[in-house]
Amino acid sequence: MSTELTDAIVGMREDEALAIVRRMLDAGADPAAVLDQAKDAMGVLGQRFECGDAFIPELIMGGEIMKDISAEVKPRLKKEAGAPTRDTVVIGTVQGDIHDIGKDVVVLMLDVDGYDVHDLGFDIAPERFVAAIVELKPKVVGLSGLLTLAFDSMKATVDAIVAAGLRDQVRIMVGGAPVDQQVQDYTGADGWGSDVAAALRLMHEWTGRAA
Amino acid sequence: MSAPRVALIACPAVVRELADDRRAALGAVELDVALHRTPQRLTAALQQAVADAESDPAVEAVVLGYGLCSNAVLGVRAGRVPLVVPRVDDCVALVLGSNEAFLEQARLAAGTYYLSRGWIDSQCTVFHEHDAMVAKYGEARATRLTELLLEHYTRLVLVVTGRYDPAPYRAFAQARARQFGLAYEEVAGTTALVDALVDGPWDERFLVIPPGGEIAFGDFHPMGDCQEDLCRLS
Repeated sequence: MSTELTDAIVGMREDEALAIVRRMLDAGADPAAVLDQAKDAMGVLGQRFECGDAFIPELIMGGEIMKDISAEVKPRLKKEAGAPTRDTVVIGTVQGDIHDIGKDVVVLMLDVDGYDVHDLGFDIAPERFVAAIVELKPKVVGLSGLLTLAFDSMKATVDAIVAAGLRDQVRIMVGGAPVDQQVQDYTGADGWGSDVAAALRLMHEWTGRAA
Repeated sequence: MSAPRVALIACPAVVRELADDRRAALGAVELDVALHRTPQRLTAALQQAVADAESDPAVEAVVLGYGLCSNAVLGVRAGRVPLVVPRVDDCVALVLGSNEAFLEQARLAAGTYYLSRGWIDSQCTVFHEHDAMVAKYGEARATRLTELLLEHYTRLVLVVTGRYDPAPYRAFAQARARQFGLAYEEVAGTTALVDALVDGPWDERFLVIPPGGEIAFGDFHPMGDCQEDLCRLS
């Protein structure tokens, strides 16, 4: 496989990365494999970040390049035979927090996975989540946050969903880098994830899909 | 009764908010500021530093110049002596004085980037990272990358504690606010928490973990006690 694509993504050369993807697809490469390779490049960026050789903006840019690549790849992905109906997901970064990089990647991956994703954005008040549940009747609600102070906002959102009498209608996942089982317990959510893979796993489980 | 002899383990961004002479007298152990990027490594580094500090028989308490810091302090254990940590979520809340003060600022503008003497001196800001990226990618691409990060930010706040001359920090912050199109503001901070951390009193603003105990999630976010003011951001 091409290390050229990895190099272009890691080197923040988005135009070149897209050109390579188009070339690979035109040459008959498996679209899913192309997407996997782009994801691997994101993994390289993540490792560099951990070592201090890359900064957060480079991760964001990597995410942007991923978005462009998946827009290119998506139309060519084969639809799964007998795929279940599109389950609806409402997701957003909770009130008081504006961090949405991780949330955006989850949105992207769920979309690629065939879910009907409604992204409310960032700094979203509890009542907006409640209104979205009433309007869209999602199966799953995702509450995202990076600040540990967002835990209280997540809890307030779950409480608002309970107060609105909607708690039985949705499964709620809390997500973000500092989120763990204790945060799930604290907020009253049904599941938690601290990375994209965990969010996908949980979604598959809750919507009865194989991983 | 005299105050216990403490060993201070702190983030470089926090320790600079102490008075210079007090900091020198304490001989604080400063962990790498970059550890905040990898909370699990920070946990391990903190635990090691606590063990090292406790090996000095004269030490009567270990105090941490950290907040919850992406849960990095969770699981750190006190060994022979008590372990003290401010009950705040991060260093923004620490210099603003409390989680409530931080939330008050979040209510005014959630998209706020905070600067203080500690962060600027320890070169732990998005702007220092920007400069490093300029060297790597050139000005135009680095600016695009930094602007991506700051996309949802509208305000740059310099937290001024009053302990030092703010002029050089103000100059830095104002220049960067102009560079990236952010509204510049100064907010009064406080050194009350860092001062009390090293000199007491360790009142309800602090967690005091007894010997053998461990810092737990519930110490920062007690179950069933989601304080009204913390839950209501607007």
